[in-house]
Amino acid sequence: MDILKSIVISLASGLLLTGCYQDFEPDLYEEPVVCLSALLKVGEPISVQVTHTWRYDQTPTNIVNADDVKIDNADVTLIVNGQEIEHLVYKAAAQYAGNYIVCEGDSVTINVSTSTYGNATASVEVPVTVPIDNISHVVLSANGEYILNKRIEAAIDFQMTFTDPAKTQNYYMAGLEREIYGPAGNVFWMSLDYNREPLFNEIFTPLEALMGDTGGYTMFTDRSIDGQSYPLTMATRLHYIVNTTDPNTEPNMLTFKLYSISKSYYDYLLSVYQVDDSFNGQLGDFGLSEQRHTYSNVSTGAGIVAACAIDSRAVNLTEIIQSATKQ
Amino acid sequence: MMKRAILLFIVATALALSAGAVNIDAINRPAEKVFAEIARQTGKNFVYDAELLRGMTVSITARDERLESVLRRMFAGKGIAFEIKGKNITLRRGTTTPAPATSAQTRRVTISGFVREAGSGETVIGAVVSDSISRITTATNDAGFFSLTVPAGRVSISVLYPGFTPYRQSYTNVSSNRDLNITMHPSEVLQEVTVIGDRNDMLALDHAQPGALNMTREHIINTPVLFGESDVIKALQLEPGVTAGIEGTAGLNVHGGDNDQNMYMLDNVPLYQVNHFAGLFSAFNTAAIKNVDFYKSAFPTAMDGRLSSYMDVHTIDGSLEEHHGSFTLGLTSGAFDINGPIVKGKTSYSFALRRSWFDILSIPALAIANTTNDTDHTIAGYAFSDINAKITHHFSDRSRAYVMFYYGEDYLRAGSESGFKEPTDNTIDDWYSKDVGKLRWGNIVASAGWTHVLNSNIFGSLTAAYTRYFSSVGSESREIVRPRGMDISDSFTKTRSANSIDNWIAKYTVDWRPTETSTIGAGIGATLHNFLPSREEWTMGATNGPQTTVRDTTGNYRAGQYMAYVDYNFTPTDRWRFNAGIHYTLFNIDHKTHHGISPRVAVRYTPAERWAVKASYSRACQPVYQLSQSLISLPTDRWLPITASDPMPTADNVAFALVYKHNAGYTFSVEAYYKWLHNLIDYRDGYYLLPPTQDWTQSLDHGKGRSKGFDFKVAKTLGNVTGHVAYSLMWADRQFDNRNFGRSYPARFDNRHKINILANWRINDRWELNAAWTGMSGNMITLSTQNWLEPDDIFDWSTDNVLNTGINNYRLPFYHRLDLSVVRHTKRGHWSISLFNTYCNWNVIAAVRDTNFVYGGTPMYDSNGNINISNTTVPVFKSISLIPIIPSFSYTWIF
Repeated sequence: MDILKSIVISLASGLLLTGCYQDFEPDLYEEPVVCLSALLKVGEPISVQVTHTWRYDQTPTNIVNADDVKIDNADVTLIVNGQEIEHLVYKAAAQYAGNYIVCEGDSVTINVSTSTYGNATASVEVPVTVPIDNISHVVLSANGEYILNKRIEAAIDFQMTFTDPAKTQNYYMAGLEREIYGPAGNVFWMSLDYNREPLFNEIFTPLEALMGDTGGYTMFTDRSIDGQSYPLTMATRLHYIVNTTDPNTEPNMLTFKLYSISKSYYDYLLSVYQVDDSFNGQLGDFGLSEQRHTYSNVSTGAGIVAACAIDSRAVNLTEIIQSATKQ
Repeated sequence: MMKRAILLFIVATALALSAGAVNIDAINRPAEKVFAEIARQTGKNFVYDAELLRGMTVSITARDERLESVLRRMFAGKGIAFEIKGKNITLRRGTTTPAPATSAQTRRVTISGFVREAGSGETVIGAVVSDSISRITTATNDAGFFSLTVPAGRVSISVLYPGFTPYRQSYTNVSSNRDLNITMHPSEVLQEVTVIGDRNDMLALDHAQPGALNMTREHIINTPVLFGESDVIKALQLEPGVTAGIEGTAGLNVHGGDNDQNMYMLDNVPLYQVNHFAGLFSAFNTAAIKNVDFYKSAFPTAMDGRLSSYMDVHTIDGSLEEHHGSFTLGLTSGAFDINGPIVKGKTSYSFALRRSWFDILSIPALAIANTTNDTDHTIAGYAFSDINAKITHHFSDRSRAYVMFYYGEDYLRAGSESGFKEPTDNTIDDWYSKDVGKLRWGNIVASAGWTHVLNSNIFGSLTAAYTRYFSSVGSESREIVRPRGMDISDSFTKTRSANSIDNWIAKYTVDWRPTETSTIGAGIGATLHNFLPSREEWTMGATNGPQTTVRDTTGNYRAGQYMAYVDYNFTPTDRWRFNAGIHYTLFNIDHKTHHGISPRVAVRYTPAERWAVKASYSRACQPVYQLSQSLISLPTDRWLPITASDPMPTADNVAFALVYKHNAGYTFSVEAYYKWLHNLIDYRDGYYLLPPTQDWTQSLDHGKGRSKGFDFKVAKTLGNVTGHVAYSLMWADRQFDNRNFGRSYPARFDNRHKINILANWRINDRWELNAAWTGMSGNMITLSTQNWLEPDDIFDWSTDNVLNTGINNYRLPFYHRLDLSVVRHTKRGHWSISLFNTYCNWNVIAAVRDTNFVYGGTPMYDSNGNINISNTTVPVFKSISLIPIIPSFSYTWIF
């Protein structure tokens, strides 16, 4: 529905009437503040990025690296379950590292104190890992033969089944990792049809489904599956090129991941969609809707402290393709 | 600035109040000139037979002397007696001055009836009816009815209405109540200067409520606007205290209020959707409009339900004598209207149709675009249309009934079609897909009314109506796949999301004039609401096979709204008028009853003729509100009721006004207002992070608002050049616990200064020139200059993270533009040529973050010594301007 979206936005913005854009510098001067960001992963040592916000025209290009805005003399304190654990040490590229290994269920608070930009604090609850029960698949179509130098086009629905812990509010994100070039030289391209999984679409209103850019977002909640076992559909479309038929070569693998994510992580991802891809977010690009902001759980309004616990399962794609194309 | 304005107001008031005593120094001056001077100083009129003073001269000197004393000395020994009664000084031959009669000694009679246009029989709303003997004045109501209780005896009735020859008729000995149906004849020339000459003078000088305005169809037509489409809402945007919102749109922000705080009514029935084309046009077809009443400060007691303003559009009934009509062809739309008798003298009809051309004009462009590609076709079309129809039947001179229908709709269809619909051959894969999205939104109103005169003092009106607002967003997808040698797969998906309100309305009102000095209005009514915030429907399956339809009806709210009001107008003397009333609203939803009690008080004091000082207090309540995520009118806007957990939104409005009408036809007015808004409902910060399936009330917050300011206006209503100059000084802010970190912030349309100059020059019978200049402080928008960096591995791609530093923290540049139009009248109609934004000022309507692509950067040398010049993007802010100079023309053929 891109055409509809563009027509509506054009009508709405009046661009049909030969709109005019002009650069200008707003006479607004806001003080920079501390930006605190971290993604805490269960089983991994903690690492925190401490930077400062910057005025939009302070940097020569649109691309800003952590080194450009780093704060390397901050006092970063880690508090876990109410107890101060350690002061993190500056490493490089705005990163402060600690020795503490993140555990499921931790209640983590990070305090940052700086001499120039003030202080910041943020807290997050580390989620528990929700295991993947199994991965199954259904081959909807497979055109082509598994013979050398041939291309196979296949539509395969994978079901990643997991059981949502009951009576807790849980947030998830689905991931799928694949290597385009398999060890044996077989090549495949793959795309996901996000519309096939209702949980991926629970964040979209019908208008957004019609007007917004809804692909690419795989976070979801347990609102409609609380305490249930649920097969999450990841509908794939594959182009697989057979470069070798040697049965002893390593197969192509797909790795399915189930992220249990903190609410702050979920809200951050949802806000990214709302800012960048939603219909009203895009109207905001024309100044015809209130500006939407990326979610922050940091006291200064800058940065995101999120946490996740990951379970993963790998499946043998080569085997599936071979099986699907057997006559 | 505020202090200066208050000081100005006080000084002007004091000046007005000081009028009364007489200062005069005349030696052998003609009596008429002395009388004119005394009249100027005291506000009194001299009533006499011209023969009485023929050739008489007067010599008198007075310093701050009472009027009666001056008159006694002036007429001593001249054989002339005088009587001061109200605003009149009556002179007659005689030697003694009789004692003034009191009202208790005088018998009263009531003269009542209807005022109608000659030829068409159309009732005239707001005509000023007065008895020039007793100086008692009233105005015709929405049905053209008036009732005037005057002393028995000699009565001299005059009726004034702009564009019509004044009606005058004297009756020498009226001893009982009398029915009087008056016919007024159109006039080309405004013939005389009178203190109260039209409905607006009546509203400004006679009524107690400040901030009232009446607008005729001619006034609307003579206001130059975008695309030359005359528009009542855009005409109102030129009034002080009213701002337009986004440029070019038919928004209305009154005294710092929001767009949904305006009550729009069509023949007294609420209309929810008043915009076409994202707000570029209003839903009111000027051809169907008789006139419009607009209230922005003190509200009539009969009206409640919105916090900021009330607008009642009266549609024409149709001629009782002959058929009339017109065709209008413009750049953006065409219109047709016709009215006339069904049964001559008894029953009339009126019908008006308007439709936009956009879809028709785009057909050739689309056809050309689609011929360049065999397989991919674009589908697009947009149209708006509205229909007004009315039938009016006169049972008698005292009883009339009507049925009215309105339908307005916007329709947008867009999508794409790819592939081959018919099979090519069976040797290749064949496919076809079609995706079409449809947006549709609009309003339906059907109403019936009966107005009747119960007796000469009581007028009753019964209304029953149905009004519906609807909007829907839908899509249809069809996919046909024909793989080589395989079966055809033909599937489709259809979705629809709908939002609507249905209202069934019944009400009965009466106007009663029990005494010469009192009028009482009262009414009761009931409205049954059915709100459908959202209904989703999906249908999927094979085109010619099994299909599945899923409907999801959530949040269907029914509510009952009941009202009763009483309004009392009391005019104890010519100088004072009091108005007091109370409007009670009972709103029942979710087994919870909300009560809205809206008292209204207003007082008008006339310190001298042509002056009025007013003060008012109004409370209003609003149980229905609109949620909008964008700043323009789209079908995504939802009208919603307050729920059981919401308190009733209310507004308290205090206003003061000073009005002076100069005898050359100028009216000067200044109005000060202060408004407190309570229990406002709006989205809370970050509401978009809640899931769509969540109860929508969770995304809302309650807050308060405040607005204050001054409206100054100088209007000229007589002569070949008419118009007004208006200036407003305004403040408006909002505060919500969960918006803007709980801090107060300026309202989006907190336009501090606003200037409007409107001029209509009737050059001769053929040519008219109209000009409107608007200048105002820019709208407030949200800008943040600070960015923040996200962690590297939290998301697949980077996004712009903007630091949230506050709502509406930046004011856009000063807005100004000039609109011109020229009207050329011909024998059978008129041409209208207009220029919107004549000097093409690129007014900024928004500002956004963006990037500029920069070709070339710092030259870099690689290891081989080759120069690499990288391209880059730099962050910038860009201002957005939408509308340059827009010429347009239209032709109207009148038959």
